[in-house]
Amino acid sequence: MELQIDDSALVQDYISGDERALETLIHRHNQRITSFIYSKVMDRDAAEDIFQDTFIKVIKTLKKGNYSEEGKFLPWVMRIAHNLIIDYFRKNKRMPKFEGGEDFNIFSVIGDDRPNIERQLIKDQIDSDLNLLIDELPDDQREVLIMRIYKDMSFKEISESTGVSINTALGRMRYALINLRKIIQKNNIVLTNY
Amino acid sequence: MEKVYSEQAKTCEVIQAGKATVDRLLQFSRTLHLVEYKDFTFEANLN
Repeated sequence: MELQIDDSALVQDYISGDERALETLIHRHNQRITSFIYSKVMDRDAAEDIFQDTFIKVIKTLKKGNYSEEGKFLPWVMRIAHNLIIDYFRKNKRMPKFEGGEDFNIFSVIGDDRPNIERQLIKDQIDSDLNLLIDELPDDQREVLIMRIYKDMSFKEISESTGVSINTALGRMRYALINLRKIIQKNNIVLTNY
Repeated sequence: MEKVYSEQAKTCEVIQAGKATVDRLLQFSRTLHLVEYKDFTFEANLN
């Protein structure tokens, strides 16, 4: 019977210079991580790319000694993969693909719909003000709001990440928004662009 | 809420990264060297 070395021991071996430990870790979690990525992006090539980028981050973090072992290697790697998946979707949103066809009109893609400089300045100011307001929120509410709005995580993922129930995460989000509105009203802040 | 999330469970295809990708990662790991100088950490890939 073959004994399976646990992840934390393999991580320590790898940090100590044993490259075979990394190979074991990759083979052990390859299917689970790649399938997780694929379930989100639904593209095999993209899934492989994200898997590769995930482990490049893992390798760099371990080699730099920035990994704190808490017996949670796989959840940590999954979190890295999750963040890279979000980056992937954000990148694709910024660079939409257009398929050529009979009805294709080049002017539909080269138009500049960016806000003019004045509106951009106002938008930057609003973003900056909003960050200051969010900093005023209690830690638990701020955490949920940032995960939901900025990291685009579902409430299920937030509940898993923070260790609270979905209902608690929903409640914190609700109170975060209520408190933000209160701060805005109390200080007579105007947060509109147009 | 449970009902909403259960709808996302339809995609469950099992795949894994190919040998070429894994080999590339192992090669990357073997050739990556980190050099620390004062407060900086420099990455060098001696491939």
